[in-house]
Amino acid sequence: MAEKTVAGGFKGFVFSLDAILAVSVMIIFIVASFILIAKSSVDPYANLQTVRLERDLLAVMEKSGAFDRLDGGEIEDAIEYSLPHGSEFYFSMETYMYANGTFVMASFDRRGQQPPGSVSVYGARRDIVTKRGAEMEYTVARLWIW
Amino acid sequence: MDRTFSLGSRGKRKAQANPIDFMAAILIFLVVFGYFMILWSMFSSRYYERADILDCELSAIAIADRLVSSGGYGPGWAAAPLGAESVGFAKKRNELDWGRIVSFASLQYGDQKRLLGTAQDFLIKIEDSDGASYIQMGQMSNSSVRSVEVTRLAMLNGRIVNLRVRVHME
Repeated sequence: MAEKTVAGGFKGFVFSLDAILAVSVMIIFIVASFILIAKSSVDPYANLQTVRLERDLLAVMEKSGAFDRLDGGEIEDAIEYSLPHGSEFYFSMETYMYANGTFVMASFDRRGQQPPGSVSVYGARRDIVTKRGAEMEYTVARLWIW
Repeated sequence: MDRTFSLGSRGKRKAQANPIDFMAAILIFLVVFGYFMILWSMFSSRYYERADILDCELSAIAIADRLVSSGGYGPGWAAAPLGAESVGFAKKRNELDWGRIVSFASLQYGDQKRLLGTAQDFLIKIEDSDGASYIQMGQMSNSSVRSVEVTRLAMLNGRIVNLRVRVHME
């Protein structure tokens, strides 16, 4: 490979393709090792556990009657009561009325704050059918916790 | 300072070796090699430690899931818990049955571990949202201070409770 020498008695200054290649390989190796070490501390089951918690929360809210009146404020209180400390949530609820053979959206409610864009958040959904006299309501409740 | 070796018959400079360059190359190689060995050691020890924690976590998730989703298996196991093939506390999904809980709690710790299908030490707590305990089963590990805890929500006698399963690393 090409070698440049400095005239005037100083020799040994080497800057060749070999050196560039060697430095590149070393940098790639160092970066890769840091990525591997950083990845080893990520919990792969964290999202799984969060989704289970969301499903549990929707299920116990339904069983405890929090969805009986489909009141957004009441549901928000129920979520906050059972939410783990330090967690945030976003809840949305769409209600459809069944009339003349079709479902028509009757209301849409959302509580909590939107998940930050920097984190991946998985949500859970629960479908609730309520019969009030001759009318039938179909509600889709969605919950995200992070 | 700079030695060259003529290899061709007509005195062409085919290659040259500088002892300082060579020493520097060896030194850099040793530094990189040492760095690699240290990283490898760190990574492998972290990997094994992490694998143990994940194993523990998976065990806790599986136990908690079974307890809140299943009613157990074995004819009338709550009346004769030693005859159970597997245990679960749920009469419906996310709805716990106090009779099954008490029946499981009455077993010896070794039988509890066998029915839960785990070799690790465990502790199961059922408490309300304010932290007041209804019941506690299992035992803390004598040898391990590291553990993983999983919390599930369920109903018990019309109240929302937290079912906490803590599994200790072996």
